[in-house]
Amino acid sequence: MAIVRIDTVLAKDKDILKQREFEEIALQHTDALLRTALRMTKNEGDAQDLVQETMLKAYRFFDRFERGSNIKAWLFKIMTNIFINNYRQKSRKPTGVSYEDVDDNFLYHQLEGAKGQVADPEELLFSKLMDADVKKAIDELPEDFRVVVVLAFLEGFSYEEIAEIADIQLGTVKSRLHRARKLLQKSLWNYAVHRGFLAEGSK
Amino acid sequence: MNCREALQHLYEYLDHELSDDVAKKIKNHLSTCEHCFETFEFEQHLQEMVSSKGKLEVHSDELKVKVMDRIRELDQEANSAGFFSRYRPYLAAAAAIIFIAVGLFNYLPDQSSKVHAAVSPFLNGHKHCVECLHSGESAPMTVQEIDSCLTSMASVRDTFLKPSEDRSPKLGIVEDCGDMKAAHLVFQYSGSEVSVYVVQDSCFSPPEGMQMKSMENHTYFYDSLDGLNVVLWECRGMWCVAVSQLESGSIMEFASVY
Repeated sequence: MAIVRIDTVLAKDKDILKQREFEEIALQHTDALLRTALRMTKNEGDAQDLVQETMLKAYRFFDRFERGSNIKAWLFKIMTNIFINNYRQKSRKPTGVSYEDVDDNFLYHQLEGAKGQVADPEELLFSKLMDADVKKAIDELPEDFRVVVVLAFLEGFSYEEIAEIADIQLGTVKSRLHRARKLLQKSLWNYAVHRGFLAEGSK
Repeated sequence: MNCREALQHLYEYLDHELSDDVAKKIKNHLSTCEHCFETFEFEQHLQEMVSSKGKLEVHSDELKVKVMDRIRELDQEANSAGFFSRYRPYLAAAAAIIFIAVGLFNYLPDQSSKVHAAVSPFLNGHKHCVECLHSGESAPMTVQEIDSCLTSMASVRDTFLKPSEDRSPKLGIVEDCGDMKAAHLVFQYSGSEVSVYVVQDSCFSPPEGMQMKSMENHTYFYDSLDGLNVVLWECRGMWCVAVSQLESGSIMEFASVY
């Protein structure tokens, strides 16, 4: 007589159900994770590894995921953790850009000033600014700012979700977003001037 | 609300992070203040532009396949590890029996190796059989190998247990029902007859009270009867049936029909 647990047979069955559920609700966020991983690591290979690691960890802890809650936020939190622990460079470069001297609504005011030279500077900015400029402006943000910008503007997370994902205070989310906006506006303006379709105007 | 207050909340307003109450006040202000309205409008356009032009294009189809392949691999590894760990109680029990046997009958030292030789092919064989359940062709096991592991198992049973009427299965008629293969297996257990059906066609409705599980390529049935668990599945054209005790998990019978 041999002792064999019959649930060995059923265990496989359970695995398949778990795999199917994971495929159904988690896997669809791979694109979003990969987009954000690219922003975090700035390297295609690292981004792929980071997302794969995230997915495997998520699967391992899938039982702990509260069904019905926001799985995208849950996955992003796992990824952010792995990124901070394993991928982030130890010596992060301090930001070379200063946001202190950038006014609120900087870009809007610059464009107001440019109204003397061109008829519709806003229209010019929106139509002539290239995708690459915007992408580059985001990439050049310091990492902490870049992450909140990507989570808020590109992935549609709420402040509260971002606080949870990045493990920071709600107030920090707000202040980082605010500063990030200033920096973004400044670089977008610089690109516009550099490309020559807008010029510094007199305020 | 004045312009300064409105502008202070500009981004939270655009990000839909304000309470309804405050958002309404801002909306009211915007309807009366052209300057603020234009500023808000510009910032909103800008944000929309950043969102649409800043989004990276990615293709993750390959990555998705890679992830799911790896997940299946890991599950399989975990299962085979779990399978052997589940044998531990049995192996320990076997060791204890052997120890006692050796202790009592010092003149029977060959018993231990005999048990070992008899048990291991069955354990490995049964593992293959379980793997068959999902992987079909991937389990490298022939009918002869299954046969030999069943024989080993019978010899283990006969060596260590007194044959009892209660445990002997009367196996099985494989009924040919046209396209549908079916097996009807009858067991005697504790004086009552356990009757089980195995069918390959998932459209077939199981006998009343039996639970049906559909896998990728086939169907198996399981049932709990009087403290017994009955599981049936097909492996390489052979019906395998395992009857175990619910509480202890020990297999009462393991047999096949082909």
